[in-house]
Amino acid sequence: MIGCRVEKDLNASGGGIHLSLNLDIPKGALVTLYGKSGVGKTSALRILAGLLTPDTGTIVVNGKVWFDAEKKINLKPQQRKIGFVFQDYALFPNMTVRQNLEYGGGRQSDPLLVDSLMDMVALKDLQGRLPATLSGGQKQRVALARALVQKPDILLLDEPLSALDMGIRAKLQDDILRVHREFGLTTLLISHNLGEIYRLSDRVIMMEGGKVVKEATADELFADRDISGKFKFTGEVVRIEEAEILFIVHVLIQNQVVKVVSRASEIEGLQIGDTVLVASKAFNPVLYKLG
Amino acid sequence: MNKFDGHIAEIQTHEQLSKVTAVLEGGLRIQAMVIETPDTADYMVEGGKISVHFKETEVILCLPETSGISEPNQVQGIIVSLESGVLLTWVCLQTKIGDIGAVIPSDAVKALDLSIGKKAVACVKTTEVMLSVI
Repeated sequence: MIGCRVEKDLNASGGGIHLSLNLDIPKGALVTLYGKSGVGKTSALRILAGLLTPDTGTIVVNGKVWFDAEKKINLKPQQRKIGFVFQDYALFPNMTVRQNLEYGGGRQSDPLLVDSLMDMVALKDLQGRLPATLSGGQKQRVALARALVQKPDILLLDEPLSALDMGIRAKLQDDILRVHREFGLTTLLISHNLGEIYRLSDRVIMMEGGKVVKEATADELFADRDISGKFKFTGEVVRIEEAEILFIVHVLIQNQVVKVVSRASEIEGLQIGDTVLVASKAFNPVLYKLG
Repeated sequence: MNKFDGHIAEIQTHEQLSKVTAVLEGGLRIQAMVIETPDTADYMVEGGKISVHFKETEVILCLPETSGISEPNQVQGIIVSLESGVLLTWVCLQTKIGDIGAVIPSDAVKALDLSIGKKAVACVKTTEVMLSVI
């Protein structure tokens, strides 16, 4: 359990904001911080990691005090058992893939763990390569593995996939989910991609102006639950085709593609990769028994 | 999607189903059959502000003199635009609740001789009308 109750004045670009966090994150949860740029999401992760010191408050993780402004307790980042993955990978350019992982593991780097992590995210064949020779997806897999060599309790992911294209993104999402479960991590993710948020998060924390304004599941937060249609699914737009006076929108719902007929006005601004709610009345579908 | 704002005037509930009568602008009534009851959905209250939604492909167009239609949701209007495809045509009907779009077979446009300026009635099945809270 992460209990984080801190305050901090931030001098954000475009004016300062006052960050006021009141978070309770259960152990083993994967929670997404969601909100516009500049609302304090990255600062929240940096505060948890010990890279930014709050003005007041406390951070208690699994019963251990990491930060207490009054008692002047402030554990250093390396004492906090945290793995951090950034959008820009932040790999050491002069070290091979394996050396990046070993360096991340510190002096007691465990070669067996390095091996098993490289297996887990399919890096074995790349272990002798330098970061400059890797694709974006490969670099981010190295960054993810490196964040785990110190066996963290908490994994912090700051828009780790936003620079990657859709296919690679899906593969990395699988990797994140797998390591999150296998390592029993508590993971905090920053993401703007609704499909990704749906796929990965147990809970979503919505932030505005330095404060948590809502906490809910992705479904509660993003799906328009007030529409009365009972046949409702969220999916991802994978193709839009023109058909006479209409458009046929192909939507990936879990692992099936469904087609929805729409007018041009309804799909204005809709793009491939967007998350949509597909809604219909319960009176329309028919059932056929299978098998 | 055709979408119009109004309020709930009447709710008739039986078991899991409710027939909701919404009053729209100009006093026009539209009925929606929903799998909700006042016990299962907060918005199901008389006087509650709601929108009614129905897809253009769920609208049937009739000529004004047509009688004996099973659907109570009938809105009179004048055709203000047509967009024809080989198989389907989009017809826009100006009514007292606003413009209603209908996607109907192009053959039917010819058979009923529908053209701009003509009167028509838009019919929508109560089981095809969705509600949302404003």
